[in-house]
Amino acid sequence: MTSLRHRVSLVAAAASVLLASSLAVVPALAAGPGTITVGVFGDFTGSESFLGPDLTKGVATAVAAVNASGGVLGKKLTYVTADDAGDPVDAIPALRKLLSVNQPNFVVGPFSDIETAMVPIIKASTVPIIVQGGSTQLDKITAPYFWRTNTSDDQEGSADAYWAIHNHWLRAAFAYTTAAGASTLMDPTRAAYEAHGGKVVVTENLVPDQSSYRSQILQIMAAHPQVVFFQQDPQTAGTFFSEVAQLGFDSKTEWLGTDVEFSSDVFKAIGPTVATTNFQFTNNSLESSPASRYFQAWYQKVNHSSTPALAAPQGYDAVVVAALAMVAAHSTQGAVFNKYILKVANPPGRPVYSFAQGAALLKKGIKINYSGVSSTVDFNKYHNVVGPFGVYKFNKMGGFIQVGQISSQANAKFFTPGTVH
Amino acid sequence: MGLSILLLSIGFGLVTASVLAIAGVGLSLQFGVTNFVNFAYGDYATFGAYVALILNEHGVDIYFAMLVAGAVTAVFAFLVNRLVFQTFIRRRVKLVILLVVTIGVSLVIEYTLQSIFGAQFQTYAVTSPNPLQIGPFLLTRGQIAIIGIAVACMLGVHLLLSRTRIGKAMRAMSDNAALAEASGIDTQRVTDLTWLVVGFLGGIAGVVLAMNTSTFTPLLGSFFLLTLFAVVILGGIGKPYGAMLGAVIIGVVTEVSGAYINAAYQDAVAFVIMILLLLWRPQGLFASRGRGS
Repeated sequence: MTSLRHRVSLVAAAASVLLASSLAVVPALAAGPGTITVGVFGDFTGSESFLGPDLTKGVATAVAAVNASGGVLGKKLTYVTADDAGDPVDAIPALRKLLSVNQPNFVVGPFSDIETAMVPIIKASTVPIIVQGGSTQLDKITAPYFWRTNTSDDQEGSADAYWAIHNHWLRAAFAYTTAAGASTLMDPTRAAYEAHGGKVVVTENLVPDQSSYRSQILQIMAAHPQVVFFQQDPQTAGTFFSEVAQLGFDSKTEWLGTDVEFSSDVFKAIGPTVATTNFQFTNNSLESSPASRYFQAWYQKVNHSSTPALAAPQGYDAVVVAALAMVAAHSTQGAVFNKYILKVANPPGRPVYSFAQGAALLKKGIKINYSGVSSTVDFNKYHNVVGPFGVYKFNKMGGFIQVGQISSQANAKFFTPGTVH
Repeated sequence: MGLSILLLSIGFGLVTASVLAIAGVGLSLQFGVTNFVNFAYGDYATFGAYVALILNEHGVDIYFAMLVAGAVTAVFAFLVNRLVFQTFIRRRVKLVILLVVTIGVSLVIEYTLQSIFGAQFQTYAVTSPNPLQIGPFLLTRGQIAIIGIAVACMLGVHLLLSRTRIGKAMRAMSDNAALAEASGIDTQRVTDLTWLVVGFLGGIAGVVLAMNTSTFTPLLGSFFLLTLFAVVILGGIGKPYGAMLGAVIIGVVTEVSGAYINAAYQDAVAFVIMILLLLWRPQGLFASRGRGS
């Protein structure tokens, strides 16, 4: 039935576009010879269709900030979006089309659900592809045009485990969805947690977007965990936590989420009452960084929201780093500026926290070291970034309150390499 | 697993069964009268959920919005049938082609809703007061309302089918459309009215489903459709009363099974139960020879 649906989906999509054409809004400027095109590649349809729009918000923020600073080498940035539909079957032709038809100067995306399937294209690419997933299979990829501004699930998992053990929460439950991005994170978290004395008392695998999770919640509550590790997309979280609230929050149980919960969408889905209870989440975000304040101001201006959407900080950093690399390389050609990404992002160099700051120093011939919103954006030899991680809670307005910090060093000590891959 | 969890799960199962019953009866009624499987039915429910969303965002109470959404979806289902399905039926196309057409309609509705409202989830503005303990069950007022709405809908369908001329005509068409037409029944009128009822139930089902899940997207009905087919097949295809019983079985079994086995297999359990029962009773639980219901 799925394949049958796929066969008619193109016709249906075309028809629906015709129907809705009068209402559709084209989000980006049309690309032209005087512009630099960012390809945004993510889930715009499918079960994780919130990821693409969320990432786009971060990219749009960076594009606005860069253009307000005069653009790159006299050219304005613009962006085009391409839908991977959360499915490799759709994603491979979509990425090929994006690269060949739109010819972006670089690509931001995709996410964990399809990123490993994209490896052959990434390896053959001659434009930088700045991936946003966390799959551990890309931890040691050797592809010159591959970059990742989101941390690997190994690091996120050990950060979650660290925070639980650090707080002496030694009995845990897992409430992860079965989505690809969630399942690749559960194993590293469990491995690090159990390796440091934690005991997992119950594991519930949640199929996303179901109409009810009450039975699973009852299972979790019956096991009396001190902490529940969870990763759920906003829609699933909305259903799940409304039912947790119905069954009654146990004040002795902490709910520890991942970067997926670091999102205004999650706050909207679960509501302020639940979101401000025993609800914490880790994220590789530097809330205290000067880059964050600059980002927040632009994010508010572009998206009319003070709470960044999921993946928006990582998408923002990806665009800023690439734009700075272009300035450093005096070229907008991917094959040329790709090598300069390491030079503008990694130490040594004068710390900078925005495109404007970095571009000004580069024009003076000063080596820079961009430190971003999602991390310090220092790439290792596999072009992956490392922590640190912050631990956050929601305030009643949907903003974030930082309640803890996990340094890269502490996380590295906690990391249990080789346990999963 | 304690008895209290089992009883709580049964209570939650009744809520799920209520949602399934409203939608399942509509789907079953439509199949009984029109004799083709409509894969767009889940999207009628989604359509209804979004109609209610528009009203709810303008301050309309969700229960009144639900009634309006049911009425709007009824007209929508009627128009889709007249403008799309009837065109193919008049040309006497094969059933498999009609099935593909319904999938096409399903996708058009999905993509159109996505184009208008975006792919992000939506929520209704409803208050969520503390749940009430009713015997062994723990239910919110919204869930109690969903059960009440389902009971009202089932009663309405029962009265329609058993006490009205049009209901009897629907049952006659369900048994044998050619014979019904030869007996002087205006089958076009019955079909039109059936689609109005089906659309109304679909729209109502979409709103209660969205209320029950708290969040929803344009894919709301698609996710729901497979379980709905299990309900309809279990009860006996085209048998609205069977769909009611099927909904109770599937709703309760899936919720209770989730308390005992890995929740990822919950939906699979529904289909295992369906297959086992069909092996025992291939015509479905509620099928009776020569009767439309």
